[in-house]
Amino acid sequence: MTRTIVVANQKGGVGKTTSVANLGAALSLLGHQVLLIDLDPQAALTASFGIDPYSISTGTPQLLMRDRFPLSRSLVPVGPGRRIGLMPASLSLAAAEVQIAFLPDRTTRLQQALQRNLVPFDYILIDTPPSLGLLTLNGLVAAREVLIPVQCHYLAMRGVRGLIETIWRVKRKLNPDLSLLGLFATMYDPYSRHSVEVIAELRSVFKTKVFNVIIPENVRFAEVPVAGKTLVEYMPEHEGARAYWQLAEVIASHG
Amino acid sequence: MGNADNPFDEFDQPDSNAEEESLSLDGRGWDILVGGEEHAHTVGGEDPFDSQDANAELGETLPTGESPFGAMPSDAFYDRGRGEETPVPPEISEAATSQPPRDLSPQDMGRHTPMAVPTQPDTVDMGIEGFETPPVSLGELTTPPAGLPADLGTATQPATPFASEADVMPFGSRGISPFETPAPGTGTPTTPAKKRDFSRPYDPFEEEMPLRDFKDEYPPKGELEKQLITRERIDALWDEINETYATVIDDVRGHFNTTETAITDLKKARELLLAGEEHFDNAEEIVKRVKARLRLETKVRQWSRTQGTWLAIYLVVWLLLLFTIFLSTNRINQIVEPLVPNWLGAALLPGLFGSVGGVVGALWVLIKHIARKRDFDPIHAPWYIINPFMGMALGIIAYFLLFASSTLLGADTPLTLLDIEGGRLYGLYGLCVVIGFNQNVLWALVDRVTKAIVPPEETVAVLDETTR
Ligand SMILES: Nc1ncnc2c1ncn2[C@@H]1O[C@H](COP(=O)(O)OP(=O)(O)OP(=O)(O)O)[C@@H](O)[C@H]1O
Ligand SMILES: [Mg+2]
Repeated sequence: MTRTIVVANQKGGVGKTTSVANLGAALSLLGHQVLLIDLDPQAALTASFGIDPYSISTGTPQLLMRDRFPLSRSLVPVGPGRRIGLMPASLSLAAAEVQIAFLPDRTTRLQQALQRNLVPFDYILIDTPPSLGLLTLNGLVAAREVLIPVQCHYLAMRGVRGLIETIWRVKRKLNPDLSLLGLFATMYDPYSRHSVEVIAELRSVFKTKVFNVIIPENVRFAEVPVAGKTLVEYMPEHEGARAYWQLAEVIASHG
Repeated sequence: MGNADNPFDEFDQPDSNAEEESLSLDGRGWDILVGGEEHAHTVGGEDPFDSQDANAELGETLPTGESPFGAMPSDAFYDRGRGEETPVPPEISEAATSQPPRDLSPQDMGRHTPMAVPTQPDTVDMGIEGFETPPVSLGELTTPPAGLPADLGTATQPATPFASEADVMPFGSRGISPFETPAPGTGTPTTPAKKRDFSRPYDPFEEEMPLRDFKDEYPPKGELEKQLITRERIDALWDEINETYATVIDDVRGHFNTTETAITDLKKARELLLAGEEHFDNAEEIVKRVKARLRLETKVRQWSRTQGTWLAIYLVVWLLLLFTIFLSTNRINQIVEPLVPNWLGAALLPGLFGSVGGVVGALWVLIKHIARKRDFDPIHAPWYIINPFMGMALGIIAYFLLFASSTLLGADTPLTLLDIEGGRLYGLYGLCVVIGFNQNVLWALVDRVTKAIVPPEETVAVLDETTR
């Protein structure tokens, strides 16, 4: 059974892309078949695997726009052992968003695309742009589980409310199967009381929905994409990588 | 809260306790995360989304078993703020979107971030304000009431953005309109120079030669007059007036004005005849004029019925054809995609929209001349036939013009069909329709673009001054 997980948070720069890449790599190394979908017009996920979004001829824009676009046509093998399938974003994704906005089935484009391409993946991870626009919505409709990274900052915390409300609306109107996989804290600085408090408040509200695994803040996360690799692959022993390993294990055992 | 582990604590410490407290998130999580504990249902218990209470509270039963998409509500909540959308998707060549963007400049990157709202560069402002209907209709100005200065209309009309650019207009109409019957005896009406009116289609038949007017009367020479204006001649003209009266009455139609004028004119002729033989020529002129008008009426009627109808059918067929093409742009795109380059394929829709404008404009002019002005002349048929093509060509030209100008002018967001923001796309199509409808808009646009690209001499001079 394929698990489709969308990583969403309309707050920018909270670590969505980093999480998708590292979780993808970890799950793949744990022996699962993983498909990553880049729904962000900034194509950060694509770029962090060392693929130049400018050189992509087909990818998520075509997947969303064309009615019979075969997924396999643009899948790029990436990650450890090139065993992860990446559906890259090209920069025309922003234009695609505008275009599909005119279609009556604009919210289910990705879902339809995934349904008609029955590829045997264990995990489909979807990276979304920092907005609650049509692309994120497509991700929420196509997935069954939402994973929310929350940066350990007050302002990042405030975004959670809007996101939860959106998820509710999607669940009521568009995708009743959607469920909350959980929230996890990113960019955690153990020396900052603020970080500690954010996590405490998250736990007090979302209780068991908050993962015990906490992603520490570390500049390595920002560095390794230069090599076109994820931290999990590049420095498996690094504390940040270990956090994502653990998160991957928890998620895998969850479903 | 001294924390020995934190090497930077000393920087944080000097603050008072009160300030410390206000920076604490302690206990504020509910408010921040979900807007208060009263929203607890939204995060539920173990699984927030399995909470039955929550569903009950929201008054919704989740559809189960069936596909959630079959029953997708038409008001799916994401509507981009446009409300109900009309199902007329502007089809854009898919192949085009798969091409990498043309440059890698930071501006180009910025365009793709969803947050960046492209702003219309001033320089390619399409002059939409020019489409505003001037408050005073030009039709009313063509014949100023007697006693008022001839330039009354222009003098009082509020300035339009184009007011000072009359000379740029190749089609600015001068002289009199052939379709406004000049009141007898007023001579050449001094019609105020026409302003650009974008609310009507461009009508090339509006512009015609002014009527000739011989001011001076040549008094007849007594002798000749006696010889030539004989009793028989006078009788014949008298009879002709009688006949014409009969024809006018026989021929009476819904457009009673013509009948009215004809009868008045004939009465005038008769008066002149009765006033003395020296007025014979004037009386004759009036009778002939009335007859010519009647003849023209009949002919126009006949032409309107035959050629006019065919032209109308032709234009309607065009419209239907365009409609079908619009419905199948998707299919056409698929076929054409591999055959033509993207930039060319992208011009398809502007062309079609321009053509719509051209057809509508031609129909408008046709109806005007057949029904309202009743001066349809089949000599103009080629214009009606060509206008849809003309609109198409102009739409495409406008597209390339804007495309070129926005690129040349280094706008932040070059106007391409691919990465254009939704609103601008509609603006462009709308513009194409308007240009097909009224070609003057294109001339105004050309004018604006040339001015933007090649600044007027004064500007260049100023630039020279400042950069020296
Ligand atoms: N745990 C971390 N510690 C330090 N830096 C991190 C961490 N996680 C991510 N970063 C860095 O923060 C930046 C933003 O992260 P990322 O791109 O994953 O966020 P995002 O939510 O996907 O952003 P966007 O909303 O723009 O898509 C990147 O430079 C990334 O390398
Ligand atoms: Mg990202």
